[in-house]
Amino acid sequence: MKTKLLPILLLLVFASAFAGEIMVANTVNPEMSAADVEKIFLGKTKKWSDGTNVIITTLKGGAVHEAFLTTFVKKQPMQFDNYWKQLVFTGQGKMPNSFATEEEMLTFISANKGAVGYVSDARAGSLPGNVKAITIK
Amino acid sequence: MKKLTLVLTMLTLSISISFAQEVQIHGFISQGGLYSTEYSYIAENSKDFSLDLQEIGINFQTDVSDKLHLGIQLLSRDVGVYGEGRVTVDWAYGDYYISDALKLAFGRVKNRLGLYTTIQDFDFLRTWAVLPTAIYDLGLRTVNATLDGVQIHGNLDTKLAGNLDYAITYGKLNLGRTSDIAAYAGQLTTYAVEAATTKYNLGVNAVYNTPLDGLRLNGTYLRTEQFAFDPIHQTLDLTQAGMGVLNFDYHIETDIDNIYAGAQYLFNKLEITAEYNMGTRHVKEYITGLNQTVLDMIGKGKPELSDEKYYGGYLGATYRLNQNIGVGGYYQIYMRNDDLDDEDPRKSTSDIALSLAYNIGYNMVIKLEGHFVNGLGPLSVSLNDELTGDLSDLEETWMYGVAKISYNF
Repeated sequence: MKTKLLPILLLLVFASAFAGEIMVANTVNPEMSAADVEKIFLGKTKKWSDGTNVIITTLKGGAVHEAFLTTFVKKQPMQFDNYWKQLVFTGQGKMPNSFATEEEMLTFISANKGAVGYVSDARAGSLPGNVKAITIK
Repeated sequence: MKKLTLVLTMLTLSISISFAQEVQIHGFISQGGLYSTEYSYIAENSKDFSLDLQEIGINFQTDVSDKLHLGIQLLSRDVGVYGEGRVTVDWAYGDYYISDALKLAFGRVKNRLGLYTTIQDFDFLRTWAVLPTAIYDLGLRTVNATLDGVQIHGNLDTKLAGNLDYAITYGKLNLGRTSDIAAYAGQLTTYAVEAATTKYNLGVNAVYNTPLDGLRLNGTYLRTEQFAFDPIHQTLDLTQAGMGVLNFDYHIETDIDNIYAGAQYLFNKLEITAEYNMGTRHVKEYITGLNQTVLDMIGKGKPELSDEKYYGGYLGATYRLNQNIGVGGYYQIYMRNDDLDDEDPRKSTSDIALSLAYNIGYNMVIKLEGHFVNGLGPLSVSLNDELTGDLSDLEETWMYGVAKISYNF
């Protein structure tokens, strides 16, 4: 059953007033609440519903990165970085995988089961074939 | 020390074994300067500007399996009279995942008390250079930072009403000669104390992430049972009574109850935090090595029992002006011993701190901070001889400033 999940890359489409970023993931959660998204990117949710480990990816900076974090994780980029450094320097987690471009992020996500990230609305229009979207409730 | 070496070896071995699993290595170095007026504060020579304000740490972490996370952090801390630059195992533990709501950490685990307790050594994670000492006493850092034991922790999601991060920690302290307990004890007693242990520590902590975006509430109860300094070896000369010189041990044991409460609100680039701590030390002093007749003769026939209560709290805020610059400040007040006379300048102390932080890129930050203090409560007697005499003529208003540069990777 799990092997069927491997090639599936999910795309999370935010059904919110802010629709500039799309979250992508290599797992099969069909939809997700905004609170779930926040918990995932804060490292509070470690596994997807099928038991796959959550692998968080982020962009290193830019407008998409900032808008995603402030809208859905409720933190400024520096606050988000410091939050993860808190976890790292207290032994509670490893830093999210960070990428300079959306292409690099997508390549990583498509190759890693359970990986999750976000891309711009424009980039979301031409995702790799194994990419799917998840609507945010 | 043998125990620490063992832990270190085990974790190093585990990390070596799992190197193929990807080991993340992170570290930091922080160097500060401290200047104070009127009194020596934290460091012996702070009135002449002291550079004894340094923290260096490095950690290694890996996921051994889907469920087991291992990590260790080595820390060298030279903060005035504390730490003296010795390298210690700051934390070293395995964290076993059962579910998001239930995880089990074991080893030298981080204690969770106030909102900043777990990160008190990492100034690069905040705008303030020095945390409010009303809650984060630099001398108690070693006592409060970690425990050797187990911790059950996790996140409970109510779905509708926010979620709750909780931690139940049970363990003990074994603070040997490499800890800075001697320096702290030197503030409390004139006896030379070099080590301390506890029978056990039990802490229950919960952080409620409320449905209101950015608002979280913290609450902690910590019971410390039999915090005991090493017995102090002393002699009693009863030659004139025909009993010769007698050797005996003087014991100080303390049970401590601590409660922490706090709230933090994050709104865009503004962060407002308030925390409060109240505690009671139940102190028991007694002598062993002398018979009851001698004990009665010197008036120590029964253990001496006393309670000491202390309170502290602060209200603070930080604001990011832009990507590079952050400003902040706090007002704190604390009472170290409510048994003291109200007029005693050691009883109540207030402190206003103003901070400026400038980030250079992603990994480096420079800070300047000024403190305007009213009261003598936080001053060490061992660093300020004048505190042992008449206090009425001493200046109660004084200042100190901190400059600090930190790098992390």
